[in-house]
Amino acid sequence: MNTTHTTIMVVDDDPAISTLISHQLRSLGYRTVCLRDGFQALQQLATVQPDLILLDVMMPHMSGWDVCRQIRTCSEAPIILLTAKDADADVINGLNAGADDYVTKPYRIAQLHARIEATLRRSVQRTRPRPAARAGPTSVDDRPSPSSPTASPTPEVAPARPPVTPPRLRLGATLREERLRRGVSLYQAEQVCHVRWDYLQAIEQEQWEYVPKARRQSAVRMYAAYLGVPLRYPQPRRASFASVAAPLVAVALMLVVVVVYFL
Amino acid sequence: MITIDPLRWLKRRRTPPAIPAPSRDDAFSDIVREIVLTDRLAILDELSTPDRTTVAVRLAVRVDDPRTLLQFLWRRAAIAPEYLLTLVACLKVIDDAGALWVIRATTALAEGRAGDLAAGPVMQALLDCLPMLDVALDQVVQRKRSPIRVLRRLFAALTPELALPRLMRLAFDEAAPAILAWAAADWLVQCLPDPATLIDPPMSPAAYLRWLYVNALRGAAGIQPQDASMLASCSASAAGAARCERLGCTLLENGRLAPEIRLAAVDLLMQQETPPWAAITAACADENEAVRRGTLARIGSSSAREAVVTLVRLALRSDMPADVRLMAALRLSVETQWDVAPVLQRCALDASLPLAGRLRAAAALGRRQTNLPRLLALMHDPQAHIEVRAAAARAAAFPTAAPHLFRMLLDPSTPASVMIAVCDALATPACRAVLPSIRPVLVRLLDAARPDVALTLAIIRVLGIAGGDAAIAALAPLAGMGAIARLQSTVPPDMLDVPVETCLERALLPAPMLTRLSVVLATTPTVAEQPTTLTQFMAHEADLVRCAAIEALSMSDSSRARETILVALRHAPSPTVAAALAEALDVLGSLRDMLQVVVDPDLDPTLRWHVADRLARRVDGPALIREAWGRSDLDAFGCELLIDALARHDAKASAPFFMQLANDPGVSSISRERALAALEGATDGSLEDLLMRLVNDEHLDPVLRGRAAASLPAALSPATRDTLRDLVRTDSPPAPLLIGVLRALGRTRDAAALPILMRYSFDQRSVIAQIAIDALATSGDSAISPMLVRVALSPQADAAVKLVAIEALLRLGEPDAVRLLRPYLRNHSVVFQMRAFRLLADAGQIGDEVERLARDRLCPTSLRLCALEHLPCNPSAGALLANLLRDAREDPTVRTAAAARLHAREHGATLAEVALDATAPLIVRCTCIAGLGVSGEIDALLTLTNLTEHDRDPVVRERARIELRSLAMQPLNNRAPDEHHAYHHHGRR
Repeated sequence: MNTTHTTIMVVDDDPAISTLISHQLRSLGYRTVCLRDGFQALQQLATVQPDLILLDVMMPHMSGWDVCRQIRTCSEAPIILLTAKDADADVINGLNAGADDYVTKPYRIAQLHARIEATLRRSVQRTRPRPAARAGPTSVDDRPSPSSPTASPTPEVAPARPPVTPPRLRLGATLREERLRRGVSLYQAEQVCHVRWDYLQAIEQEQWEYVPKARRQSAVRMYAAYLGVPLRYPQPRRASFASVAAPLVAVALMLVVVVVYFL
Repeated sequence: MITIDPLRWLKRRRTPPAIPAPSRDDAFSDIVREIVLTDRLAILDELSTPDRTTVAVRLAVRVDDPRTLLQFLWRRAAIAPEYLLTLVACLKVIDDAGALWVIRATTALAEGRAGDLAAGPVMQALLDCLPMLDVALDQVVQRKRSPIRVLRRLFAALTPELALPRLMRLAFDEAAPAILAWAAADWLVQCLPDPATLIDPPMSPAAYLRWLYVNALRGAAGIQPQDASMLASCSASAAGAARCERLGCTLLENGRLAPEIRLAAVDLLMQQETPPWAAITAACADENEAVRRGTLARIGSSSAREAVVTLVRLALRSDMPADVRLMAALRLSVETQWDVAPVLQRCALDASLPLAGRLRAAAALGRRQTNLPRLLALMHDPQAHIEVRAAAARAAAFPTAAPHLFRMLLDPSTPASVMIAVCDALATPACRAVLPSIRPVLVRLLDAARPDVALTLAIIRVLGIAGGDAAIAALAPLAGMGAIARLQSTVPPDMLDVPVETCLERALLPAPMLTRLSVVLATTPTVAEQPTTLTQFMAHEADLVRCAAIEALSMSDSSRARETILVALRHAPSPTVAAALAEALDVLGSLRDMLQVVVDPDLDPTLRWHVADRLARRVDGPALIREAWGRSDLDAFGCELLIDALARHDAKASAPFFMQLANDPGVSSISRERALAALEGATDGSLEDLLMRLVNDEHLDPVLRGRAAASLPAALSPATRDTLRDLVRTDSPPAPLLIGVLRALGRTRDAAALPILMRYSFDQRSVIAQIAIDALATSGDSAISPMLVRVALSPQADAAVKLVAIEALLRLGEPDAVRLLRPYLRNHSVVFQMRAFRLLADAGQIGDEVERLARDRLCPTSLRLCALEHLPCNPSAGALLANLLRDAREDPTVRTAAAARLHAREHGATLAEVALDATAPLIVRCTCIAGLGVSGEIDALLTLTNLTEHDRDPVVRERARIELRSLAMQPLNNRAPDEHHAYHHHGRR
């Protein structure tokens, strides 16, 4: 891969770490843009349009997971989470948030490089069927786009992209994530839901045998209702007749008015 | 029918024939003449009452001085009431009888001395007197001395209907002498049947004050809050102390009045020479919170003995409201004139007093060394609250207390909180002299305090101050990886990967560790910052221990400490530890030591970055860095560190050095690029030629050429401008070079370059178009605005380019820019929304949109958080933040941000409400508790006390305890914030 023209956005609140990462990546031929927090990343993403985002998790204002989720609502730019949080749950959380890969600190640059390359490769494969994934031409014409080395240098208008839906989670993980997001402990949830905390924990871990069968459904329902998690994901609604007919009627009326006016 | 009276007929028959009598008028004239000639007024006694009246009237008219006659009649009236009517008749015909005679006569009539007032002649006489009375009162008003006693008797005798109008005239007449007017006001109060009959308030301030007085004493129906300012002038008026006291007490006791008025009454009472303390003290128990607190504040502002006595009573009376007792205790804690130590000791032990008051009382004892026995008694009292004992220990930081503190440290029954406080006391300058002698004990304690990180930190601090080889030997392992090993030794190894929630729920950790874990989980600003496993939590705690140990080592200025720090550098540090190590090296190490760290490739890169940063800040640092460039052991990252550090702290002086690096083909291209980047913003004209040589070097890497172009100074020679224009005019150069040249052309504000920049603004490459537009905006020529608008509205243009065009318009001050930017806030994806928001906010054009965004739940959370950051400080924004915080359905992140932004003093009630809400998320509650700690108001202290003592959640209790301790001690010493505070406020406030 031609790394010289690949721009990597490094988001880390520690200037020492971002300097280090930036140096290492530049040594490998990448171009880097260093930002200090999630707000900056979201604000700059519209104009910087990086080929890959290297995101710390523990940052002020917004966590890397939240930034990742926000980016995923509008961009398919590959994201690698680079963090000291090395527990399995953290990795799962990060990947569930929409990250393409997860690297823990302290990292080895060779491994990070390999993962960046792999992620970029996957990103290229993902975008290859579609001529341009971005909203408008972004690559400099004297070089091939790093995300699509074979793409035509001529500008192409991107087709309207369908909204990116976050990967569907398992119920237990969803409930746990929502509880953590709300900053609620199992003890607090027990007070409100009137379901024992160990049952709630079992629901989160999907250890169903732990919860008595007679109470299982009601416990899940109450816990989900408390956290505001729908038990079934909402299906996309079909366009109603009114929403289709209303513009047609409006256009017809305008035509009638125009005809009457000229007559 | 005609009736005939036979007796009458007989009488008529018996009457002798009448001799023509002399005319009555003549007879009266004769009598008058005789009286005048003989001066015998006693002749009047011989006449019948009607005749006497007639004669007296004629006499009164005739004589020059009727006073003798009046005195005669007045004396006779004391015996025979009918003389009084005669006197009145005389007064009616005399113009200059004198006001006093009229008043006396009227008073006598009203008192019934002429007979029953209901009788016709007496009533008629009284009515006849009224016009004369009015005239007489007018005369009295004109006099300097007023017949107060006479008037008092008059108005006491008059019926209310007759007295009221006259009293009002006297009381509220501006011309009336003050003494008379105030006396009239008093009489008015007595005879006023209904406050409604009072006239409208007068205009004159003095009269208005009397009106207030009367009104206040008659129910105060018409008194408004704005009258409070008038009350202050009462003491300076002629009202006198008694009336002021009466007025003040009456107003203070009237619970229906506005608090402002009642507090003004307290002020009035406090201004008196001998304030009525009973009434004032009673107000401290008033139902109205503002009144009782205001009263207490006013008592507190007085240094009079009685005031202090009152405060003591209030603080110790358990039947008083908690806020009053707390306020009294707080006030007593800062009392300097009177010795209140015994009271403070009682307060500290009084379990019914709010904890904040107890803590403050204990801390206040530390202001005088003579209170040491009391402090020691508190410290050792097992009945006292642990925090009170700890506060007493902290306050006992006297040299003479050291042995006692030492004994407490050795006592195994001393609670950990008290131990920490003892360490805090020992760490103060007062106790430093004894520290070397207890060093071995401290080392032993440090070893014993493994699971208790808070105690460990406290002991490390003391050991650092104690210094010496033993202390350094004890601290050395803690500065390195010994810290984590020590912590991990307190739990079984198989538990390290257990999720922290499991540890909490099954209570698998030592108690102090559990508490700290709970607090850390509850107070981290984001979920991501919470430790997931015990290992992560241990790492966090070990970082704290390492930082404390490093800081302690840096306190002992010895070569051994320096060596220990140099060894600690070899242990892999976390970012916080790296910063602490760099700071310690800055203190203990030499420039050479620091440079050695920067160039050592085996050391942690973040540590090297921090040390390089500190080295560049030292006076001789930049020169040393430049000298070090040629070292053979300098790796690529070290080169970059040195260049970056110089660029941050010594860019101007290092410009030639950077230029030398940029020109040196032997230097790596990355270093050359960094050196060129460091030159960006330099204004030295001599750099122009050197940089242009690089730009024109076709054999050079285009990236370096572009970087050289971008670093050209703003003021360029015409030849250079021509060259730059020529470079980009015809064939499209490589993108990096093109970008650099476009930037340079934009900075030079070269009019001839505008067409070129405009052409590149439509470039199909988004990056180039963005750079060209940015350069156009830098050139500052508003003539390009239409073109930028065209780009911003172009359906073909890239979305990012359009946004940059709008940003350029905004920089040029075009009003259309805001109009073009606003749709981005509503209709685009979050990244465009965030960008648009930042641009609008930076331009000060966000307006009301910020409140809408903060309120709108459909907005992305990140945008809402940004909006919250930019909310202005006004009541509307405050109300919005309070609503967001109270809303239980709101996102906890938003609620937390709202709590952190809320003005703690103005919205203390909201913070307290949410802090007490057991259903609110812990992070929200903890943020509110932090807000209450910032506030420091009485309500905040009470809420924190309530949470500390009664909340069911241990984390909330712990957080409230920490805030309370900090708040209770704050004005009395300058302690450094504890580690919990530092953690919680990280990046927040």
